[in-house]
Amino acid sequence: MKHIRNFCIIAHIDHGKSTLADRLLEYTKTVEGKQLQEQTLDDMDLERERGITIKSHAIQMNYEKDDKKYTLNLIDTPGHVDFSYEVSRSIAACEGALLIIDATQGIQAQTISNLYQAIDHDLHIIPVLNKMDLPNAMPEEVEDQIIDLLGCDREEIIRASGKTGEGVFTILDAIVDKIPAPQGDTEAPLQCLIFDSVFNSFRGIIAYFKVVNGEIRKGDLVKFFATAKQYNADEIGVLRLNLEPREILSTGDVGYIISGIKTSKEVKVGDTITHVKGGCNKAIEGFEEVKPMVFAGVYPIDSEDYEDLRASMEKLQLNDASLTFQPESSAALGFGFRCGFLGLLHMEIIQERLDREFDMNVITTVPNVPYKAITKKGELIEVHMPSMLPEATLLEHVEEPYIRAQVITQSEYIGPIMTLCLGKRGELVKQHFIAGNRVEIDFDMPLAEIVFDFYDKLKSISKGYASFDYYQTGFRESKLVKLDILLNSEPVDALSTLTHVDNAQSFGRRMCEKLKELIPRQQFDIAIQAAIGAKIISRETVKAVRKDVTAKCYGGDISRKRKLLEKQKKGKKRMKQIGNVEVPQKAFLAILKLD
Amino acid sequence: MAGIYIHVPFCKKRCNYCDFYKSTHLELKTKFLNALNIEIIKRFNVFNNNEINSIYFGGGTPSVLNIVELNKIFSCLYNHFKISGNVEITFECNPDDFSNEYAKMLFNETPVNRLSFGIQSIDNNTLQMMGRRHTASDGILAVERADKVGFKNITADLIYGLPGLGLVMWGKTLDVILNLPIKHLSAYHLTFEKGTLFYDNLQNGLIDEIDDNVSLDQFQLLVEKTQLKNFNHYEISNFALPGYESFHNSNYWTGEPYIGLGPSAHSFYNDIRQWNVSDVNVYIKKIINGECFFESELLSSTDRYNELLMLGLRTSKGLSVNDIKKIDYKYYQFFINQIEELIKSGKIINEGDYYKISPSFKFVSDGIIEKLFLV
Ligand SMILES: Nc1nc2c(ncn2[C@@H]2O[C@H](COP(=O)(O)OP(=O)(O)OP(=O)(O)O)[C@@H](O)[C@H]2O)c(=O)[nH]1
Ligand code: SF4
Ligand SMILES: [Mg+2]
Repeated sequence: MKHIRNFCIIAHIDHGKSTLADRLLEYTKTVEGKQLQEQTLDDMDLERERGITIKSHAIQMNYEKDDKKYTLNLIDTPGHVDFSYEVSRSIAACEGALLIIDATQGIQAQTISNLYQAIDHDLHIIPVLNKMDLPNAMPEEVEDQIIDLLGCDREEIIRASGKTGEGVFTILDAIVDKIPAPQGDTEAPLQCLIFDSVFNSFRGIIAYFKVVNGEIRKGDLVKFFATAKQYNADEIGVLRLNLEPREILSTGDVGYIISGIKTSKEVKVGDTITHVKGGCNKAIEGFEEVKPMVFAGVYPIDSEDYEDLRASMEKLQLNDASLTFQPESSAALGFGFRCGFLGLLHMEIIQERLDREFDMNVITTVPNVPYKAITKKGELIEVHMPSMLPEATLLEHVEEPYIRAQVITQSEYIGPIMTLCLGKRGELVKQHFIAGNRVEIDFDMPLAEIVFDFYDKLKSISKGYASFDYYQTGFRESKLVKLDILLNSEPVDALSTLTHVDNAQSFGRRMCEKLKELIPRQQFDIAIQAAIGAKIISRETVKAVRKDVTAKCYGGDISRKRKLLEKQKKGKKRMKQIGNVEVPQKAFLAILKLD
Repeated sequence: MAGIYIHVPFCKKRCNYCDFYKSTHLELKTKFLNALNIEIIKRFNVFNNNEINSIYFGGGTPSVLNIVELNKIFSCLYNHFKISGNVEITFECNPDDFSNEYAKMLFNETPVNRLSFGIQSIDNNTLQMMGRRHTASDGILAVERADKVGFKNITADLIYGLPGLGLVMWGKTLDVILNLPIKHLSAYHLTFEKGTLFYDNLQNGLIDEIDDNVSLDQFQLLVEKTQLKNFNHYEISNFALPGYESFHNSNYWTGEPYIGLGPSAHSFYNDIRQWNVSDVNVYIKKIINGECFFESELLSSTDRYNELLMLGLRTSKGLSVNDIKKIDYKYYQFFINQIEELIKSGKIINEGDYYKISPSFKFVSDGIIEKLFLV
């Protein structure tokens, strides 16, 4: 146990966590030669393509220092705010953290939020100034910020580069010297904290855990606290680049267990594993359950695919317990599911994974945050979609979720950021200078306002010099109306939204304009209307196509034209027929990109 | 029955809208003719005993060939293919190549029996904008001359939907052309094809595409005026007096086999579509060296179903469900399932075994065809 070090890598998005992890794997010879790619640990196709980490990844390394052999368990975490719960779980399995700060960017919003999480768990923090190889690195300036933030000495900050390998051995030495070895009692009854689980189609559910107390052996009869179910530890082992079976894992170790579990519901991240005989009688304090931040309907484009969609969602859920869904139906779209997501990136990723891993083409409806409706009779209804909002006559009031937003920027952008946030019904909570000309501005804002087109606006008004983090703070009473969209006079429930009464007018107009852009011309005129109740507040028309015919169709034109029409038809397969109007997939998300 | 297409890949000048393969290096003519001969000898046996009912010289500009050159091709064709007694032999002519002497020789000394003139417009400004090398009167004279020397089966090509071509001018054009001794008219709406000057100008905002409604008005005027002259609108862009529908075109649309000779020419037989390399130099070199000079693809049954639809529905006769059944019964089932709604909305007319696009929807036929496609 004295020779184990458990640590995670935390940082703001894109500050180079995964790349630095590559260097650690390389310098400790954990991964060699061809196996070492860029961001080796990002093993999902989607992660590799987008260059972002979505899931935490754990891996074990060996390192020798002063003739002593150490086992280092590393967990690389995602930086994006949607996945911050991944960070909190990883932290729970560690005694230390590398806090990476991009030397060209300085401290950003998630640097701070992730750091606070780590400090809350008493992790030892090793600050690392990364991307030192870049000519625009500003080491002194960023070090000042770090010192201000951590209250550490300048000498404690390690200058490094995930590109050149600068500082990597210094980091490894610091991990050994500074991060405390795990504590715990080998003799005590077994307590393992499950911090992650993955699904493998051959092996079922694989749970990742840290042994907090005691020892676990292959073949042991164990039970999971939350479900009280018993299993045989068919296989236990450590997480190298591949799973490596072991006979025994002891206090402080990080490993995996395979025990014939088939469904993800049986494994709760945050749960405790113990022995059936002579086990502990108290579970370790687990994690708060992740609550979805946004809800949206997910529908198959082809209604016949409903059952396939269910099967695909269930499979996805095996790997991503933060995804929730339950059946719902829509007049416009037929049968589908109301899904809860952690944020819009999460939603986008689920949609993309459905497409590429399961070949499921889906429509995602306009997302909304969860509201609370309180009826005159005093009932509380959680509103996950516009149609769930009770009629005005039955309604006492509605509450909407609020967040605390922390924006970090440079002083010259304070003005425009204020204007943006106040325009989104934000209230300034505090403003303070971090170091130099960097400021943190905190707002209380309705969650709904940041779900839709907030990031992009923030980015563009600050020329990229603003980062943003938030956490939910509670609910507040609010005045909401239901805004409906009609296509050729037929209301399309999938395009309905709940919106604050002050925003409704301009929102309706912009929706109509955007839909006009996105709905292709068809063989008849299409009227797009926005309405509140019976009142039409805006209207646009998509004019009918009058000409759609190829002039020539001889020898060479034939296959060319056939292929063209086939391609168009394939494109239309991604459209949903509503009444007689073909509506493209992306029209349902029009709301997210209103100008 | 089967057809032969011969691509003569030379033009004296490039027109601004045309994306057919052509070269302005007329000095390659002799080498090309040699290669063409070799190609015929290599490929004639694909048809076995299929009788040829149509030979079509297209381009490029076939009228860059002199009568001796042309007859050399004919003797090679007649030596190798089994050519029907009432074969239709069409020859595309550029109006300004069509001297009196050339006209007479073509009629008297070659088996050509149908002429096609690319008249395009009767407005000199329009012709100039299109980069044509002839004038309006050249076009009209050529048709009259052809008639005079004895050609009784003449077709003309026109283009509408051009930037700046008003409805009045288009009407006048049709009046003039339909009063000429022609039996057939092909009228194409302008399309902006990559690699043409028009396309570039469009991209650079130097010209504008005309409005859909103007296009439709011009199309409707075309349909009315040809109808008044008893022309049968037998395919979207083709009109013929009774009995003068082009064999060559019809072969394409009814799925008859055809062989395309010369650079960029396409062939279709035994469910294989094949296209020769689109470069006269490479074509000559590969043929001489005995190398492969074409690419090909085998059509799947779904491809064939889609093509049958696409081609059949463009014609006034329409598409026979029996032909669909011949590919596979499952396509018929699919078709019948889809067609109901289109009939209900008046887009498709059903007469016995035949289905066709109703006249008022012809100008949006691509969208309708696509609805019936299987992908
Ligand atoms: N020049 C330079 N580029 C780096 C360095 N480290 C990372 N990068 C680049 O920065 C980008 C982000 O790197 P990642 O390692 O994916 O960052 P991350 O922090 O893991 O990102 P998320 O997991 O999405 O939060 C990539 O394009 C890397 O190539 C470095 O030390 N020097
Ligand atoms: S339109 Fe005819 S003459 Fe003009 S470039 Fe094309 S093939 Fe040659
Ligand atoms: Mg990463």
